Amino acid sequence: MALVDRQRVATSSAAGDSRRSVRFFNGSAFERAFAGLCLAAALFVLLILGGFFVSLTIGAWPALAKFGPAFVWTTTWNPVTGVFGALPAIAGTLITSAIAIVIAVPLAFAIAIFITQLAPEWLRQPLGVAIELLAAIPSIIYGMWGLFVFAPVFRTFVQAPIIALFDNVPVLSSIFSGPAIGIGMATAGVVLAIMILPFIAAVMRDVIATVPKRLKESGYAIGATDWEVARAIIIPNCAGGLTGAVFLGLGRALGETMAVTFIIGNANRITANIFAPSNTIASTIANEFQEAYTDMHSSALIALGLLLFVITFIVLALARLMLKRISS
Amino acid sequence: MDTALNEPTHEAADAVGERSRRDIEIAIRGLDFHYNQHHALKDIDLDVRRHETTAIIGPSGCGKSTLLRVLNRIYALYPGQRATGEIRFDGKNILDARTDVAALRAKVGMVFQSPTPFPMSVYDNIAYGIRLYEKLSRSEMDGRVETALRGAALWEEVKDKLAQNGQGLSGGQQQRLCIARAIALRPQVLLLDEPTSALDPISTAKIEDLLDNLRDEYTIVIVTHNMQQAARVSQKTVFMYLGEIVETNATDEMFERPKERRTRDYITGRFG
Amino acid sequence: MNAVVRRRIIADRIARGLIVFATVLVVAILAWILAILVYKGFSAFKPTLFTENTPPPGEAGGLANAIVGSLLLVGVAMLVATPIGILAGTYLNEYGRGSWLSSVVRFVNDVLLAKPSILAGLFIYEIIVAPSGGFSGWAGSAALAIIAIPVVVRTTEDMLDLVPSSMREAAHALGASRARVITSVSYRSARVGITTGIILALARIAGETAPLLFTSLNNQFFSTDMSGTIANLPVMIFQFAMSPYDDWQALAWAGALIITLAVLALSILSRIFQRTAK
Repeated sequence: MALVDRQRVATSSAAGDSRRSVRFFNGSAFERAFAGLCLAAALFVLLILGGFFVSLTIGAWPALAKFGPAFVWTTTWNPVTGVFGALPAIAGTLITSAIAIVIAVPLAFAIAIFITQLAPEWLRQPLGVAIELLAAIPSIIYGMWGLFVFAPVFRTFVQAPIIALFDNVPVLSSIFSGPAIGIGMATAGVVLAIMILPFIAAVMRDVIATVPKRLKESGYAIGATDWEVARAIIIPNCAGGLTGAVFLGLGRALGETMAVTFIIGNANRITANIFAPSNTIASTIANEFQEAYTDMHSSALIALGLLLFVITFIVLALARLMLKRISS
Repeated sequence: MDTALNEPTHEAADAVGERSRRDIEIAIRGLDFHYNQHHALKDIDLDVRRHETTAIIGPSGCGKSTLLRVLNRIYALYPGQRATGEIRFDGKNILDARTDVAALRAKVGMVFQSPTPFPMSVYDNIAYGIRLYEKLSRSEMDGRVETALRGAALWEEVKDKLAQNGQGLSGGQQQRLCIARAIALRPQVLLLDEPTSALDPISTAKIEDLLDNLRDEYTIVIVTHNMQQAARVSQKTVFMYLGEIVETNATDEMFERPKERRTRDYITGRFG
Repeated sequence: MNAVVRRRIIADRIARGLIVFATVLVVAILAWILAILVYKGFSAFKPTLFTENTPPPGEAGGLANAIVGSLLLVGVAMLVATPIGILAGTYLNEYGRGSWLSSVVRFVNDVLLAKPSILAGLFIYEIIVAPSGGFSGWAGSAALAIIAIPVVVRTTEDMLDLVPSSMREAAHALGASRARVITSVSYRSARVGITTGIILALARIAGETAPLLFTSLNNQFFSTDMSGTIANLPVMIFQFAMSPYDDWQALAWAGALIITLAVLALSILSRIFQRTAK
């Protein structure tokens, strides 16, 4: 025992000289420095969001001061006369996103159900991976495809027949009216749908995977079919998460710039005709920002950005809240 | 660390008193432990004798692991856990807020329920702890690593694969690696929290043999749910129930003639 | 088989048919997009893409300046985003566990993760481009870094969460301080996962176009000067694709193929890493 004690003492005195350098990485200075850095980085994340809001508000101030709340509901957007109202861009954003969501959500849900419930085991993993990879493709690719490939096809095989079909029907004839030029809100909506589809499907698949196996099994155990299990057990059990997935997709559609800018047609007007060229908030900014020669024009574009910030913040916050409830 | 730490600080103590106090490695007095609102340990008094193995037994949730986790203050990692009372070790109350926990943990090693090798080589697993306190030359470090691995009866099995990842060893080897890592710091006390519960019977037997040898150099406190293990490896056994110590006795006594009815019921398998 | 059951089975068949049809339809459309991309991209593919700069209309040229510029922009962005993201993720999982602040940061990070990227461009325009008086590569990298940070934060937090707490306790039990435990045990244990996060962030920003429109802009010439405008693939693709010139459009397709292949390669790489992480 005495030997052991002496050994200990010898050890610690031999360590004396180098102790300071050894202790630094285990000492309170390093401890405090590292903890401080981590905290600073975490606060930086908050600062980014705060910075978005503050800088956009400051940049938007001249326009907001001049036009007031009417900025949101007036319909004239004219850089030449310096009159700016955001309603055409807001309307274009909401209409294209609505088209995208209406098309994408059922298809994405179908894919998610297929991958989790119906597909043969060997297909599930590869298909899931493929969907995730497609969700990672840059949006500009979808924009190019939309402009060069999809728009002509859409014009010939969808727009023209529909316009002809509803030519004499009241209401519908003004929603679907010519000329069929291929680009416009409907085209943008469909391309947006295709772009957000893999993303929504991937999130929905993860959400559905959280439904406990025994719940599904107890459904099958009383003789329910695949579809009945999906409707009566899967959907009610993760309705919040599925809605969250839809809101995440909506958040992407609302702010998507490149996929839309190629094919929206860049026209600042409001029309009930969904085949007509229009603009979204993001495409207006992308098209005009570099050419904005007056300060008021720049400020109005930044005010559009601020609007987009607020709208997407609300949508994404709701998405988070819904997805959180299922994960905890 | 200096030699004075190993001496009792009460100058007034007489020679006899000092002698018996020196036999006590850890003296716990009036220890209470709270986990948020839950009162997990109630007024614990216990003396842990030097170079003896003390086993703590009791049903799950009785507070035996909690008691162990107070002894190196590992509980302090988590907010909401707090201990009050006195635990005298090396002449100081380790519950004192001024305690240097790093120095404490260098003297009180711990081995966990499931093996916890770090994601590094076998060699670095041992050297990691040493490097926290000392800067050694390569050859000195080699010697310390070898001594620690021999001490844990692992050297012969791993001497040719020191550069391999420690997580690639078998479960029993991993656990002995963790014991080697703890004794590499030359601690005074070894705390073992159900060290064999994740192991097969053969690995368990090796570790029990090892514990027998380690007793010559270290004071050992082991928590176990296995009463045969307590009987095999310990000299003193503590039976806990609902956060209290029900009975403390020499191990032979405890298993042959338990004083308390609750102890007898537990040992004979009537509850727990 | 009675009528009730028969009706249920028919409903199930219809639903399954629709689901399979929808899946096939979507897969077909996505395959169509990729096929067009590969066809048009490979038609325009030539070795000089990597050696010559973007040409004026009507002349032959390549994408060398845009490729180098993109690598530079993305590289600098990741140099900034990686340490900030890892440290913030470390705060969330190691220091701030269960705290009020960490749940706020986690929420904000999740929102940033899905924020429209064009806003990052406007933000950096406001705080860097406008005050400094000009578009620059630095501004472009800053905008990309802001998009990459939340990705790194999220994966770092998730991956540190997979490190067993018993491993951390074991290091603490040797007397290692918290910072020491994190830097030497937690990071080492989660290194594959954290690397995955960095690759994912790379894949995320490699094809970003909108934030560069107001920050780095584009440059017809070869430049590695980060304080001026700098050529890059995404903005080049946008401008050339929207142009009326056939050879510019061909270059845009070639650039689109290069970017897509890079993003897919990075995504696949991250999946391989992820698999070894578990």
